[in-house]
Amino acid sequence: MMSPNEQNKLKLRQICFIFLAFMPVTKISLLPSVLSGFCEERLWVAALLGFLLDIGVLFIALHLYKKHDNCTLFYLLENKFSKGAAKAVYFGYGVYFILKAIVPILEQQDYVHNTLYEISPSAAVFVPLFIVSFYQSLKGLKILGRCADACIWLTGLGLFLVFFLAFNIVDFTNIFPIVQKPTYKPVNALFRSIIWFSDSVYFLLFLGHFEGEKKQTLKVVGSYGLASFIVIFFMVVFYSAFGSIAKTRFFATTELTIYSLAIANSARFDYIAIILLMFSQVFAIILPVYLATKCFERAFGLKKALIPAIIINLLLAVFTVVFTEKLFTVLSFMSNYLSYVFIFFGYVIPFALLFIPKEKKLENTSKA
Amino acid sequence: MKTRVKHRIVIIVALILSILYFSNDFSLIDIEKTAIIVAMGIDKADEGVEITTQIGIPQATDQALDNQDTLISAKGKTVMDAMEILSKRSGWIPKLSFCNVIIFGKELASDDISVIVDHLLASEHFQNSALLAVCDGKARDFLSTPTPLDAISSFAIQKVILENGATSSSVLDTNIKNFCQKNYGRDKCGYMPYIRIISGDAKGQDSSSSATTDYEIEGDNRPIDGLIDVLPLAEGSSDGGGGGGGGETPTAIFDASKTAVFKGGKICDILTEKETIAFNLLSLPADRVIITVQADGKNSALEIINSRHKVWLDYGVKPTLNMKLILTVRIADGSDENGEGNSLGRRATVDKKFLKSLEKDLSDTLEGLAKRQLESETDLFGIRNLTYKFNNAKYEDYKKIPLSNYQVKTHIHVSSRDKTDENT
Amino acid sequence: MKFNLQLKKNQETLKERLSSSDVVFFEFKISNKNGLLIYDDPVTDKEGLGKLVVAPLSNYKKSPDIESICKHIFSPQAEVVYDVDTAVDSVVTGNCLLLIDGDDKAIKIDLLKYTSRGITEPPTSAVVKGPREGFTENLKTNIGLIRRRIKAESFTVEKITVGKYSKTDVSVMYLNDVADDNIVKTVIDRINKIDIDGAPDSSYIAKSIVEHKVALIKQVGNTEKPDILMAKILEGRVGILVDGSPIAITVPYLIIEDFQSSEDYFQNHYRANMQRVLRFISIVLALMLPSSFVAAQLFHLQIIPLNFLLTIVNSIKGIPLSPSFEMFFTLLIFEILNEASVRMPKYVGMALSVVGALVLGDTAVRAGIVSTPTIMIMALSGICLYTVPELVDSMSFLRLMYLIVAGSIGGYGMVLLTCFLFIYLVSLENFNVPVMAPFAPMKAADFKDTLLMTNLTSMKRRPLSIKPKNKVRMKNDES
Repeated sequence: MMSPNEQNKLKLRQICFIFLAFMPVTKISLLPSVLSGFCEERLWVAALLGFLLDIGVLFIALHLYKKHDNCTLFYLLENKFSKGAAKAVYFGYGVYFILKAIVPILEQQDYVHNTLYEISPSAAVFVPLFIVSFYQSLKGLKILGRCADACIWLTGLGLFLVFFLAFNIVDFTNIFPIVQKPTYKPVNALFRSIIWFSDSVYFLLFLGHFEGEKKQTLKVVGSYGLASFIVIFFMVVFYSAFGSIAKTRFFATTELTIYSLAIANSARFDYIAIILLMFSQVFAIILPVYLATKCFERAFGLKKALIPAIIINLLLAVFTVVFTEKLFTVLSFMSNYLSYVFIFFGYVIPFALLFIPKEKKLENTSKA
Repeated sequence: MKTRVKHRIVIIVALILSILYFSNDFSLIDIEKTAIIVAMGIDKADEGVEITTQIGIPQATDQALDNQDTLISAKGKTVMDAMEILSKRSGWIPKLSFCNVIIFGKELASDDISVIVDHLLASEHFQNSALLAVCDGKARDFLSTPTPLDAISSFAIQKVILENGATSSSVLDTNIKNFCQKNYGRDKCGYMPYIRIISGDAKGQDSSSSATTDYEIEGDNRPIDGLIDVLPLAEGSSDGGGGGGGGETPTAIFDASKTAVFKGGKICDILTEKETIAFNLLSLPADRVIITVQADGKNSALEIINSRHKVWLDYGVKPTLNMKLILTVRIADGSDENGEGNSLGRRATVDKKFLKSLEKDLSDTLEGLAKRQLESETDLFGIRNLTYKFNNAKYEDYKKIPLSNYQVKTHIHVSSRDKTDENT
Repeated sequence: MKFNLQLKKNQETLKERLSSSDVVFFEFKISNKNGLLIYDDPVTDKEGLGKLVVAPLSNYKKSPDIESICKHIFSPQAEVVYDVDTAVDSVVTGNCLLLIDGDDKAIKIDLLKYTSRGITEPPTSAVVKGPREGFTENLKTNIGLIRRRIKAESFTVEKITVGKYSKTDVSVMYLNDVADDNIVKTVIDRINKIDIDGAPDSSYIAKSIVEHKVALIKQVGNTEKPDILMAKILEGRVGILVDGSPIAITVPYLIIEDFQSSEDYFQNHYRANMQRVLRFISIVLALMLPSSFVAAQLFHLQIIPLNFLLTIVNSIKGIPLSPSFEMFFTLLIFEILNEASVRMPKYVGMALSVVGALVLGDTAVRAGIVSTPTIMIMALSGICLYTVPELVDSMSFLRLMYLIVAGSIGGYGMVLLTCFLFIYLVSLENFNVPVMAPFAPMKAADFKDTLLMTNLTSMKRRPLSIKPKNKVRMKNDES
């Protein structure tokens, strides 16, 4: 049996793969359409701004790693402030990660209900997702890292197939003009879609759970940068393919692939790409739920993640059933009222952590 | 977790799944009650629209499978309303994911199809890759027309649109996505193939005006219940094959070489065959397009083997729409005035007079087409879009210029394939 | 319990303990003393007993005592035993026991001789190219087959006895300069801790030494061929042979092992790659095809090509069963036929094939009970499964799971089940080695011999996933 500490150990490679395999797949379904609704062909500018902010957070987290000798965020807060403060911050992050999981969950549910199934199925069809999520919550970060090891292939192959199948409908002049008068539109678009960004905050929770390697900044930032580039390129391809109607094409991956001649002539090969990406999407959805479980486990000082895992997954399952077919209502509520919450936990807190002075010597470094 | 608890959970999950599995009533599709709609015709009705759905029905034998079809039509205030009525009265659940062709009746297209196309775009039931076409007459009649090309008429229509569009550039094919992209873009203009029926007797002749009226549909319409009609079938749904005319071989074939231009969702112009090819050359790289040209009383069929095109705007003294076509051609076949064939055939260099003739022909066609469109303020060439993309800084100013103020310039250059062929 | 100095008393005690009718008590004279030979008749080499023990003793003239007799008989495997319990144990394990009047000791002589079948090609691992020898039920023969192939000093065989009643010999073999010490130690410790009545087959040992007693997939490798066991030992694995079982166990086990065939290494590696990919595709088809077909019919018609859909619609007309029940029914029949064909005598097998394949299949379609596509899908799935025979057990069960999930909640359920199984598999470890290695966790260096393989000579390192002590198996080619 693995010890709990061992269960939560990641390799730096796996962190890179988590970013590469899980980060893009949550941003290539609804986000391109939402961003084109706000700023048309400049959707990629909005995404670029968001990713630059994320990479900034990543640099902060890497700086914290060096400055505080790879101790966990909880230990850092506990040591510098108090156990209560650490618990409060972790509680906040627990809530934040649950909120962060909601949109990808409803996005996938909407896709399953309206596109994958011929007849909109019962809401219960989606509930088994939370069994998988619960199961993962009990397994630990190490297993999630291993899943990323495998999902990197699925994401890569899925995206390659999507780009390949979309090739014949792309007209890159649709994203022209590339240089325009600067306007507030992309910033507004980013603000309204901030719920999709700030994945780099995951790295804060990974602190203390991996061993440093040579050139780790380059590896981590490089992988996040590559994942960002893939998403931006996807958005460019998406807008190039749909132009003026991009804002009405909600499930970008499906929409991009159905025009392939191969599909017109035979069967729906595009489903191979969609299913491959869906595997990674499931893990990408599970990741924030898992982190929320861990945050509550620490916040309430529990020895096992069983109770928070049951409660969180049950709550999310009920929420999903209640809000079936209400993706856009939830989306609109979140982007109107919760953007500041996302900015606070995604960017403000990481920025504030920069100002925590270095301890002369921490009692027990790498403490979990 | 204790092993005993784990086992209990596994047993409970297995039980629930087994109940769902064997009860077989969990948002399932009953395939036998499903109508696989392969094409849809939409016509104008007194109050709303009349939809005609062509449903694929397999007829298997021991050796082969010969697909047949049946047509059901229903009237409603909107497309979905009509679909609902069709579903209620027929007992079939319509499946639209295989609907690859949607044909609009001419009367409806002259009225306004914006709302319908908007619905098609937004609906998750339709594939946005479904081909769109407008027909010369009623869509319902076109779908019920037997043709020797395929047992199912819509498959024949698909072939005509896709094959000709892909190989000869003689058809300007479009689908829901492409049409909407243009219609809802800055151009506010779209196009789709204009389908006509050409009877076997009058093969090669344009019978656009008389096709639907002259063509006699076998049998009478038998109304089921007011709004629903079951039509006699193209290939005879009851007898499992043969022509619609009581066993006679069907002779009708479809032609899609003309193109209907839409502005604001209404037909505003119909492009001729020549204009369709010329416009196609300006939009897509061409391959295997054959154009017959005449010079000094001789005919020569030239095959375009390579093409480059460019459309750009010039906002100098006067706003100008520039169209450039650079074509490389070779002889497909030719005859002189004595009726003698060219012995060198495809390897011969094309005579300059034919090249010049083709240049002039294309130039005149494109210029005439562009001027006609611009005068009617139809942005078929995407002037507004081009201005936005390439003159964005002054887009707000330029978009106020009426299209009729634009000048048209064509730059056509046609050359023969590989000069070395001359000596070989 | 110690022996008595009086032979009569010892004889009475042993007769009481060894009351079975197959144990022979043979009284004779050595020089001037009474002697007693005790052996288990069916498993003793009587010819050896006569030549090696009785004949030398008949010429023995000195006053006999156990120590000197022990040196006098012609057996290297003779040793003195001092208590009755050990003596009884040695008789029941097939040794011969020699007692002399006036001596409170005995001699144990190994004269074990089982009747066993010869070395033949194993029916489950037949090859076109490559060695055809297979293990037998005789442990000594099996160890000999390996020793013939590995003549290294570091090749170590450790013998452990398992089973309260069966006292089965289990041999653990490894290369002590290659295999990971922790793994070897764990294997030996776990075998020593086995408390069981008997181990009729190596699978008993396999089930006892794994960490997860209930698992969806097997957790140890097994083979019937000495060349495969040799290759695995050379890679750094530990081999376990059990007396009475022709199947050797290897640990640690990686799932990818089952996609590797010994023939892959004997033929052109392009061909081998093609076959490995084929095996992988076959397993995916075997697992997913019936469930995908059911899910597509019930929930996702759009993924079926139109012409095929029309064929399906035509073929299922009038069939009373729903697509899910129809597939379940066909699967059930397939499993019944499969089970019957394994158990039935060979001469009935042919008749069963005819009845199963032709009569049942064809008649079921004609009678309108099941449709032709369903029969075809199930037949294809069934055949595909046997491209990797090692996975048949677990995949048959998983196929049923997929089918039930697909028929209940459709394609999304299949995606979720795959994710669930994936989490399960990547978290499964045995002897500290994850079964999904080298994919998850990723060990890029081991990719040279996974779903695709490179040329044999470029695999210069042992698989790192199984943590060998010595990582290099081939020095750089200097030519």
